[in-house]
Amino acid sequence: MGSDGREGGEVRAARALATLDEVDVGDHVCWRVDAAAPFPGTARAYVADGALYGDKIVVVGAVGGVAGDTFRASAAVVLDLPDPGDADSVLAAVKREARTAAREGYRSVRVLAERMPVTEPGAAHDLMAQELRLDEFASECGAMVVCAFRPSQWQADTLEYVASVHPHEMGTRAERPAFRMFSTGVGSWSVDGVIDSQGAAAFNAALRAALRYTPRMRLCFGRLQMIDAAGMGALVEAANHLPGRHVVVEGANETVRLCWELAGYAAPGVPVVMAV
Amino acid sequence: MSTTQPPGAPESAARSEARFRHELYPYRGQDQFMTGTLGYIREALEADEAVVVAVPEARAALLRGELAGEPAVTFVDTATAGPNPGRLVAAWTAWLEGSGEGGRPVRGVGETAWSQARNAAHLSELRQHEWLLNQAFARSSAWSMLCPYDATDGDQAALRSVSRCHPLIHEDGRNTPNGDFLDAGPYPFEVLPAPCDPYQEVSYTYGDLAAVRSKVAQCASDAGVSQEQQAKLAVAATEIATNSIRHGGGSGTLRTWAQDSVFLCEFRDAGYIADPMAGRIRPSARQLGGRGLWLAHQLCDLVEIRSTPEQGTTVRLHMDVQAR
Repeated sequence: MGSDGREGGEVRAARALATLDEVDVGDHVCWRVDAAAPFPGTARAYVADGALYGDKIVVVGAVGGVAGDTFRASAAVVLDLPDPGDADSVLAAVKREARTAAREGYRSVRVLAERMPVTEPGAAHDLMAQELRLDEFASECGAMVVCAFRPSQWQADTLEYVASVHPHEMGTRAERPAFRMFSTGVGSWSVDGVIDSQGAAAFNAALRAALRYTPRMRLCFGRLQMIDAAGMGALVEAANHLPGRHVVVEGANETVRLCWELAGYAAPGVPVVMAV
Repeated sequence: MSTTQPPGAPESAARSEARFRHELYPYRGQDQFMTGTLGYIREALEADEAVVVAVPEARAALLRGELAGEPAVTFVDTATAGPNPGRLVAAWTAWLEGSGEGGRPVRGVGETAWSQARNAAHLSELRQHEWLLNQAFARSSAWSMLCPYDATDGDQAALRSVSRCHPLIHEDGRNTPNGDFLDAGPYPFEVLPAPCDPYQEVSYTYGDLAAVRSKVAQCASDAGVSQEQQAKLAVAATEIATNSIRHGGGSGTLRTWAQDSVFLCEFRDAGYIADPMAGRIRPSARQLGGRGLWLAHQLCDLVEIRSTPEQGTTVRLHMDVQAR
């Protein structure tokens, strides 16, 4: 298994999944739960598939309002954490289960978490940071992580922000945000899609969250189609937000590199460097 | 109306009363060109000033022959700035700064190849560029520019159009004030011609940037715009539509059409661009905004901007279509 969590050196890439049956090792899925969908049933099927494939099941919180006993019956580990918004405790618990699973001979860890809406100032950024670290975990350990969101309970902007840091998505890929940012190894992140003025704030938030834990970041633009002035500004602002941060952008297409130079960012003192 | 001091443009106390001298030099024939231009250059050299020369290659060759080995004279090719006259203020700023290190005064000699204008829109933008030079370098006392103009064809209307963009007329080695100069008020643009039939039209507002790009890409592809140019156009279109959404009342109307080997995207909104220099000055890394029009100018083959408080803003992006 490669450092990006994929077998055979396959590069991790964003994609849409028709059903949860398609979740593969290393995936980190944003599941916008249809109000009319039989949520517990779909979740149970995902969990049951895990048992079939020899995956350890880890359920974070009370998924779909279903009592923990429902999943315990299928040998799932239910992490009923006192503060599910605490990024460190959630990640530590999931990683602990992953280590245990490896010792116990499971193929992988299959995580199912229903995300609770956040409304406090800054909470969306904390949630993005948590999702990015879960994404890194999925990428590095080959885990499968499905995060369920009920759109009716979320502010649209917040959901956009959080969706942007899930490389995989159940159903048709939402038009917004127009980019996805995801881990491609330790200290290495990839962005695909388009970063324009309508996604720049989410991009800035994702970068800020990632740069909290990654002072020196490799940012792969190999799958980025386009970035506009607002997007470039968001990148530089995020790198300037905390001291000592340095971002090396790799794989950018010719137009992106041209725009970067034209925008004046190919200059000394800018903590973001566009590699040739 | 704004004025812009180019970064690094020196302005000594002794010259603080002086202004950027922008002289039109109408000439007839090669001998007059050489006499007037060489006189201007030699006067600069005697005053220990640097000179930047940007004239058509045939004329440049003649000057090189007379000025061989003169280190204070630099020849540049305006073609390196690309096909859009909207890039020339920044190009001249860079050339003059490059030759004026240490506060050395610099003279530019710039002859536009008027006869090679691609179409009426290009010609109009070339003239506006000449007028904008007065705004761009208004306070740059250390810089001056002579614009030779080949008046051999006797087209007085064409000469008058160009003349109105220059505050000084150069004749017999001296300059005199130009009474026709458009000194005050907004630049009197020609009215934009109506879109060529058939055109496509869509409205856009917040959330529609992807749809704008999709429409532009589809129409540009149909018109034969290359993939490379389409990628640039996507950025430019995004920037202009973003300006509509952010500064132009929150929405706009996009029209696209093709005309005479040019693909055009027109963006109309209710905003007003007060600064005629918007998008003409290279941004610095520390600059927070103001890159949208700059990128459009740098990425498109021509950009036309018409903006009034009463009628709002129209921006036309042109991409030349290469023969297939």
